Amino acid sequence: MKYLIKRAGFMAFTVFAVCALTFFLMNVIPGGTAELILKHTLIGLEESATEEQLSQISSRYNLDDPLYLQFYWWVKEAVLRGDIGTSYIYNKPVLYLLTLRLPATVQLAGASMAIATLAGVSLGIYSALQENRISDHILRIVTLFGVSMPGFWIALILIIIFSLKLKLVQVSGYGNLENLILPAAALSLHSVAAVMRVTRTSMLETLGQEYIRFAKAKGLPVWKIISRHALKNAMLPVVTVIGFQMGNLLGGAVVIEKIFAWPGIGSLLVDSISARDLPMVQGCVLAIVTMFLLVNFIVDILYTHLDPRIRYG
Amino acid sequence: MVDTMDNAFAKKLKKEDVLITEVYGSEFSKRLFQRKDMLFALVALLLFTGLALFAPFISPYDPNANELRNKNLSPSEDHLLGTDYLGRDLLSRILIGARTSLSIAFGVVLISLITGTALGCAAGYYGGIVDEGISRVIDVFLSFPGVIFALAIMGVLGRGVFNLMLALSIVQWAKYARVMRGQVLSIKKQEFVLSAVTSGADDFYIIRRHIVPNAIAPLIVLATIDIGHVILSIATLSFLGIGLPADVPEWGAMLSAGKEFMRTAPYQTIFPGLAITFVVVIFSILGDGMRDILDPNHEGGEIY
Amino acid sequence: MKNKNSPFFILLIILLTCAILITSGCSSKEENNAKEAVSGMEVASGSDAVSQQEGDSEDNTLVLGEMWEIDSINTINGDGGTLICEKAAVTETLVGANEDFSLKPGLASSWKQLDENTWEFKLRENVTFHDGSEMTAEEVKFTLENVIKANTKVASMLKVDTIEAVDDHTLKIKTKEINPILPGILHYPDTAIISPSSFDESEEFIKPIGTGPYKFESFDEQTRILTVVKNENWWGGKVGLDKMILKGIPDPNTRAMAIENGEVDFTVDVPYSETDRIDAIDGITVEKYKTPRVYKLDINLKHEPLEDIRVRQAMSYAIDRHAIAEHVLYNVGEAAAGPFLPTMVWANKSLSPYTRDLEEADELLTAAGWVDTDGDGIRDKDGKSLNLNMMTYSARPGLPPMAEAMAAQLKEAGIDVEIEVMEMGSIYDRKEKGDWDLYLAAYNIAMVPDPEYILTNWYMTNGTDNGPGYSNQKVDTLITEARKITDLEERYKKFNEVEAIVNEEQPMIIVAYYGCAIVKKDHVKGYVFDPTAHDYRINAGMYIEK
Repeated sequence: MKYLIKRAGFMAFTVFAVCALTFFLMNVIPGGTAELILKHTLIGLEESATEEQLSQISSRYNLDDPLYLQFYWWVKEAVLRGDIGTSYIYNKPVLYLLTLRLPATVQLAGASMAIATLAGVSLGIYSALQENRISDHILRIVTLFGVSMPGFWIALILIIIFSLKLKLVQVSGYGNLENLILPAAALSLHSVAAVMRVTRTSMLETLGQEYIRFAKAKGLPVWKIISRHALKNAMLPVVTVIGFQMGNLLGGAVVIEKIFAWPGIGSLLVDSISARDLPMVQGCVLAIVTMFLLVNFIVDILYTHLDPRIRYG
Repeated sequence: MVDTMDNAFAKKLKKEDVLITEVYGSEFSKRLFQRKDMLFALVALLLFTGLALFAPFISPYDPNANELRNKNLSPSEDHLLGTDYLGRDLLSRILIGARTSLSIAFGVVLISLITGTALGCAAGYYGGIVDEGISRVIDVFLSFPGVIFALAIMGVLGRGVFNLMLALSIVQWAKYARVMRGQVLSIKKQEFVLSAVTSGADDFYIIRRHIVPNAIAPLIVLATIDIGHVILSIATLSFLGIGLPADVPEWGAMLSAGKEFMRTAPYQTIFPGLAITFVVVIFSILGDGMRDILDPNHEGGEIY
Repeated sequence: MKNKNSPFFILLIILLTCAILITSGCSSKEENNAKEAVSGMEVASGSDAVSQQEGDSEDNTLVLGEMWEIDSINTINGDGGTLICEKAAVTETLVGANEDFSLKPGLASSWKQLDENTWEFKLRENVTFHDGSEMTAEEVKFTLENVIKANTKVASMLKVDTIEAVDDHTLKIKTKEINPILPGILHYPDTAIISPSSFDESEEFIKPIGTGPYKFESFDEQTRILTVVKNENWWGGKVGLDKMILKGIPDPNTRAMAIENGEVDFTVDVPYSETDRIDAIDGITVEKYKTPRVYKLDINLKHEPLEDIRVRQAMSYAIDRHAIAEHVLYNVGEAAAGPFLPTMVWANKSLSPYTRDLEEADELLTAAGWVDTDGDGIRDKDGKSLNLNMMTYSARPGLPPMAEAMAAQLKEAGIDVEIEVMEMGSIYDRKEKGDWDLYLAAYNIAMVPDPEYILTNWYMTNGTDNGPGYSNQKVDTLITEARKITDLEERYKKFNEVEAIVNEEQPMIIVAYYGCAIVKKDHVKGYVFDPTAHDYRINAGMYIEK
């Protein structure tokens, strides 16, 4: 319990520090914030703003105040009233925009995670059982190349094959399950390979243990050995790696969302950064960091659950 | 997560009777030659490095000279790998690009390794408030979206090879620091360190002579695998429009600029893409092999 | 305890979590739709729109792949004006424009200038808004006043003092100073007329209720799909489509693949290199047009080598505009002469593009003292070699490759150019500091269908978009004089003279006219390209024939 409180305190601190860092960095990037807001709302990318327009925007969003004051106000509003600001570009509360965009990313990451877990674990077990046979080698080589290809390249190749050549799924869109398949598959590829490799190694090690050999000698069928005995002990590193993958998935989502026109938080973040939509950037970062920390927290709990030897003091 | 990592390493180290230093010498080469895939990867790496080093002498064309009328050509006798969208020779660009890609990757990994080792050592060795401070910073950097860093740094300093290197290093170092800290935590409880402390050796000496040599193995492994990851990150940043400009021959930038032509002239994505993939594969194999050699008792796949 | 520790249990937890996450996306979408329904809109959820698409296209629905993200439907503050007016055809402006950019009646049937600062607009009769109410001078006054309040850009162009509704169909506008381009500004989509019922009681903008051929039906803020339906009572006559679904697909590659895969019926600006391949596909046609925008290279006149007119002219001779148009733009665009399209009524038709002439460039540069003395291929003078930097950005796909091609061409003339593809903010910063030589950008040239706006901003001393810092007494005088002339022919004559001067002096090199590739399925009929639109305009006559 004490550990949990301490842990929660760390998480809160990390979130705060990340927000502060973001705020500082966003203000260090050159180019007037007011100018960029205007370019992305009123005047068009190439046109120049007049002095009058600039000062109007600056005073509307208090851009001329000292940075620490701006940040102080943001934190104060966020903590006291749960208000994390209003987007400069969309002119709507950041919280509202996040509720619109967050589900899409969560859905995408969730589906990828599901694919990574299901495919990764089963392929890993298969590969371990087939150790050093031809199918094991093929699987390992394929996944090795899979993790080594740039994500957006894979995504584009997948679109060309599955949408354009085979006409199986749509290129872009959001809303139904069919739209989810391709982006989720593209995003999960790296994770599938990682989970598979860990499962394989870990399974092999477990299968080599004394008690498994004993079970085999007793004549238990293979599937029973695996499900009753081997899997349980082999899962420890797998769960860890799945937790790590969540971070990668959130990072990879930025690119995948761009390609598939997926209305998620990753593409929103990138767009907001270039439009200097500071409250929106803060909101996205806040959401992403919180998600990331929570997932890691859950993984740690699962970890203790699986391996009673680990106890947090 | 931090605690998990520490525990994993602690557990592992307890099992180890042989300390890594003893493996360095003859054992190393013996184990190396037992693994065919590693040998293959080493040879391939030497080949790539050689090509990168001698690129200016062997590349058939000026990588930036464009001949608009010869754009988007398929491989032929004149242009062995074809030409890109401005009629630049792809082979020459890939060869010169190897220099950029590899040197950025090495640079980033080196900077992160050094920073990470130093800070991780300090945190693990001194403990207390130093550890607390550094650990929190590591946490923050590990949960920070790297894109923002890249954008901010490239925005402040402008685009360029060095700035890209800096941006990526800032994103990467925390990973090394975390692993290093975990290593140091468990090593410093070992007998030989304790006796060195009691014998009155100064901290720097202990860290240099006892801690780092015994703790560095997993970091070396991590660094090897990371070289590939950095090359992938450059490609991703280029795709998002914050990497290197397309006129700098670099694989990621080439791949990203060529994506518009994937249907009409696929070679300008296929070849840089393959180059990236191969190099990443090479470093994955090397990293894997290094782990087996340096860290024979390692359990369960990639835990980094 | 044993059961709890089972690996299946853990995996089950992970998978269950994933399942919850996936469905959470869907369910919150429904909530979102429910929210919309509450606010009184008819709901068409994004997924329905997509899944019905095939059935729909048979009953005359067009799915449009829009080139920008659809973020806002607010027509008042400048966010969604162009989209709602030109691409969704929900709203209309008082003034229209012909193909040659001369003005024609829109919602206003005629207008005249009463005195220097007063204009009178006669409004078209029998025009009704989508809510059934009639459009009168009151609503027009309401719209314009709100736009002026919320949109500083339009306000600064209009320079309006007072607006008065004289009677139901007469509007009097008084300006603060003489403003001959007032009717032209009222062609700008941000000034499109909406009904006051577009706002709710708390004066929040909720949805655009205009007069156009299509009525706003729904905007799904999550999927960002905009749906509009046929306005049966459009004053302009019959409307072709029953329904139009607009999806923002910002990536050109994805747009190309979407139309190839049959997910959209109409889209624009696929990668230029793909235009010929896509045109060759059965059932898809690509049409290339010019839009009122030019690729231009600003030259920093404050930097020593570029101050010299001969260097600038030499650069212009070194650039192969035709090769760029053909090989970089794939003929989506054209080699340019002056800042205006030759089809524009006011353009100086006697100008022709600089054609590539390396000898001429060599002569000019040598005369200016730039010779390659050390044999490194780069010219030098007084021990300094001719190195320049060129900034550009990637938001418009033609720019980075064009910059690369130009750099190589300039190098052949002995000028070394380093390209920097930057973010807009960094470009702005560098321009502020004056730390740049060349800046390649794509500028709009007919925000307002009149040459005054562009020539003033670009070439007048201290003009708002005068990046090079150009200052020419004669140009200033000509523009100032022309401004006061209301006779169009006289006006244009002065402006033509300005065009000729800047073409000679090359403070900015106009490289190419911006193109637009319209990509549509063959079953989309009746499309007419409007060159005065900002990207493209959907016309009421479009229909689907299977």
